[in-house]
Amino acid sequence: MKAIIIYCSKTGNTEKVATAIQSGLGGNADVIRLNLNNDGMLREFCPDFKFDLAAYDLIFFGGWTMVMKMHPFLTAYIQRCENIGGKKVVGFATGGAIFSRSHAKGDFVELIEARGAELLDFHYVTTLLGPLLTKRKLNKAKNFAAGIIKRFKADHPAAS
Amino acid sequence: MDGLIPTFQRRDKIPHYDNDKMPNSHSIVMPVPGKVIIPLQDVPEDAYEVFVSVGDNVKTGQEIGTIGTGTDSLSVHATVSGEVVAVGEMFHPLVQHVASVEIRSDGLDEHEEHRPFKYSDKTDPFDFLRKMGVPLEYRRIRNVSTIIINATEFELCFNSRERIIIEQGKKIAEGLRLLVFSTGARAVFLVERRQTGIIKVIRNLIAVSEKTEIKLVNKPYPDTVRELVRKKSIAAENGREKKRSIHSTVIINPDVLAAVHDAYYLGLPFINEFLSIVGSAVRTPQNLWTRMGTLLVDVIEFAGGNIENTRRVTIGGALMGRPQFSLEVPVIRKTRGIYAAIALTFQEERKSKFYRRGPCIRCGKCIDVCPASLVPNHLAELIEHRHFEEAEEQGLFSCLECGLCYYVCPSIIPLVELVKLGKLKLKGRDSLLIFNSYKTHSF
Repeated sequence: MKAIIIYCSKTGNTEKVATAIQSGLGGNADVIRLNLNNDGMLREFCPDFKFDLAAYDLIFFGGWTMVMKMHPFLTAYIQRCENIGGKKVVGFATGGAIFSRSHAKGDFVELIEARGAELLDFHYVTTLLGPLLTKRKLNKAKNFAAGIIKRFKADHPAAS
Repeated sequence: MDGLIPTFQRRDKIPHYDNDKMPNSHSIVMPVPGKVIIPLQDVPEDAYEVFVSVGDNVKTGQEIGTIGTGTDSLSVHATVSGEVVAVGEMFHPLVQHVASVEIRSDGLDEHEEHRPFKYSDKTDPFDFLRKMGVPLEYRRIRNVSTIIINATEFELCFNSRERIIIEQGKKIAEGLRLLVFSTGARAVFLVERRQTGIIKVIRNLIAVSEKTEIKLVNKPYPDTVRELVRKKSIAAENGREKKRSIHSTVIINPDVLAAVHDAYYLGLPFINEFLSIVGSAVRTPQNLWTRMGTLLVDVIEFAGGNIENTRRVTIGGALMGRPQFSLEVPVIRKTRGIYAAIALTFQEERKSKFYRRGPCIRCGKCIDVCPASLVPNHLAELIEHRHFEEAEEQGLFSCLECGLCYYVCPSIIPLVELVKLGKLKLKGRDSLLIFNSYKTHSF
């Protein structure tokens, strides 16, 4: 099984969650940080960056919620990437308020369905600009990723 | 997309300087490419001559044609040895199609030998440099009183000028001494106060000659200043403007001075180009010596580039560069650098309101920063309402297209694109390249 984590982060909270998820996956996942400027250009060289997701079985999309929607960088990537149809997709999001959860999830589900991918699960972390992002929440995110792996392996016994 | 930080705070932040990391790395000589495209024109209206035809074998440094004809011509040399594959119209990075020569390299890189300059030949030194293909302003250089060497870096991401002064300072000093000797002019190095690394180097270089001085400036000068000076001088020659000291000035880049030295003392024609390659599509930003006419694909690939995901390539920097429609275009003379980036386009309605185009709020920031003392918001308004002639009266063609007004505009009005659009409309031309990004806004 090959996994990839694609996320965008501004203040570093989503990056922490993405790192927790990566450790929950046992460390074997490619990571892409969408560090774009306002013209849509990637700021720094990212060795794993690619639009083609054919090589991956499990795809994690993460971002922070902006005006109760998923972040535009992430939505732009989801709309642009190739070979995502029929793939298992997991979403995670960080946000200031707990009530953004359903809105962010609804937006994410819409995006994923438009591309014809299958949503496995969605995870939301309340951060309030950092102070509320505790170790407990990061552990929860780690366990969430580990649970996803278990479910994936139960569904696909052939994939090791 | 950072909605949390207010606009005025973001504007205060210093932009990303790539060239702060670069000066410590030595430049690299790129290996001979497999294929080169050498343009024989600067604009499609130029006269030109070709001395080779398809199937000919050429050596490196062999004269293959001239830009212009007769006594007013500049020689063009083959930059690799091999076979001429095609002669005709090909892609050019700045103007779409020009007459060019395509050469397939045989990998041997055999050089044709040229003699260095000798006084006993009794030829004019500038005619010799013309034959060697060194790009100087030959019409005016005999009568100038001041030679300005622009060592400032207007593009924040490049540092090719700094680097060439550090690495080839002696050649630059020799080339400059030659020009000063043959014209009788004085020379001034323009250096920005921020460039602390090269101020000392230049002071050492110019210590030997009397007519050379260093001038510290607070802000960098763009390359387009040269065009402005040239236009004014032509107007003065025709009696349309008063003669002032600026009219007997030429602006030269340091890499041309190194080429003058090479041609004059070593007999090497102008076939190499020094450029920076930066951006997120490249593994390490660096300075390269490339052969003229090398395709952009080869340059980006050599720099460890991520070719299949490269989406936006600009020749000449992020601020004043020209976006490219294809990677199969050659590196030409005066290429300062290449900015290659991985890019995504996002939907307008998903953009943060901070990044959506708004109405002009008359804050006057663009007027404060304009180096040509124009009123960019007024110009843009006139062009938007299609009053092109009025915009020309307001000084549309004095615009340097530096992009500072667009950078400071809090309403994200595409001022530079509008100004470029107005210029093209007045010339009766139309460009898809500029329209594409502009059509996402409203017109």
